[in-house]
Amino acid sequence: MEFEELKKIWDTQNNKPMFIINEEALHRTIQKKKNVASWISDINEISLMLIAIVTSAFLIIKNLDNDNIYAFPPAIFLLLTGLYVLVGRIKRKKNENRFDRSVIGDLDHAIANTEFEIKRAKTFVWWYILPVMIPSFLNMMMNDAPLLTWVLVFAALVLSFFVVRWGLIKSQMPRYRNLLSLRKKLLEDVENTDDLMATNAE
Amino acid sequence: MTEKEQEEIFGQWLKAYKALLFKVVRVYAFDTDDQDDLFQEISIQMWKSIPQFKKESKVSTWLYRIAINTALNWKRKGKKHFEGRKEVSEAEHILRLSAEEKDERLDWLYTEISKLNPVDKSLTLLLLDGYSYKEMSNILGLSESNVGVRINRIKKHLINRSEKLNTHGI
Repeated sequence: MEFEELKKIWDTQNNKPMFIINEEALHRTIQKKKNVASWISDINEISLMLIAIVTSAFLIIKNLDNDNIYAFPPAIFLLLTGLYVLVGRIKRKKNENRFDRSVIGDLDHAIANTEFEIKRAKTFVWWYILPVMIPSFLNMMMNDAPLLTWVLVFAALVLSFFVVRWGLIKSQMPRYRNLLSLRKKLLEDVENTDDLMATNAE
Repeated sequence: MTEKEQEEIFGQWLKAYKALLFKVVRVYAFDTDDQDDLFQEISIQMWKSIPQFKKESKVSTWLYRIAINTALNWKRKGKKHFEGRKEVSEAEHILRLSAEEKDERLDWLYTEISKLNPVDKSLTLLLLDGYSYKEMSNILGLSESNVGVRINRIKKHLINRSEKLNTHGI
């Protein structure tokens, strides 16, 4: 059979659709699902922002009436990290709604984003927990902070550590593995074809 | 864009391009639950993409890009999808097979396409629907020369397979 004949067979379906759509059910499904996003990322980011804001507000309010200037740098730092997470979240949401990339371009972009998220989560202790923990603990020691303050600040830091680890294990790492495996599957043959073309050109 | 406008465009696209969506669904999903699930995913992505459509390409090119991308990602989420299978089965079905008489040669062609690797499947769909190498290259992100080499290979493969089909007399 010539290729033109195959095309004719293919074209026969254009005038007799193979499925019938239950449009009401489709409409209901879309209404239900259209705003469902990746909830693990949502919980992760919202928790981090909340922890940063609440802990920062707590440090500021606690120290407003005394002249303890050491309390403010960690509070400001916490607010800044909350802002950083917010900016990352806005960027991620924007990217979720990009449809103008090619299939492989989109895949490469998703891999690069996930690599960045993983790196950020893995270095979280160094850029978030330690810079917040050291000045906070020094400040609390110098001011003989009550046990409750120690417990709350410590709990907030531990909680943020576990939220980030949870996101890394449950969402980012599996996503990254899946993306890499899809890329491998898609491009193995493409790269072989490119190699073959290069050899032929030589 | 208001939600009402978005709904109108969605309805128009669905009516005009459902055959295109069905083709992608049939090439990437094989049983009725899977086809239903993939069609839902593609429809949701199509809905979400409407405000982003800037008329820089044809609607059909835009929809092919979304449908193929969704199908590949849907395969990637295979496990999650399987876990959600119960939910799909219990939910009302969105797609029902049409009562049209079955075309054995078309069934054969779909079977052959579905045996290809994911990139070649997409290329074959686009090729059979008359897309140029440049359009295919834009949709998939491959170089035009790579598209050309692969298309030649796909054509040869399908022609070979069709000769065997003729020998066996379908």
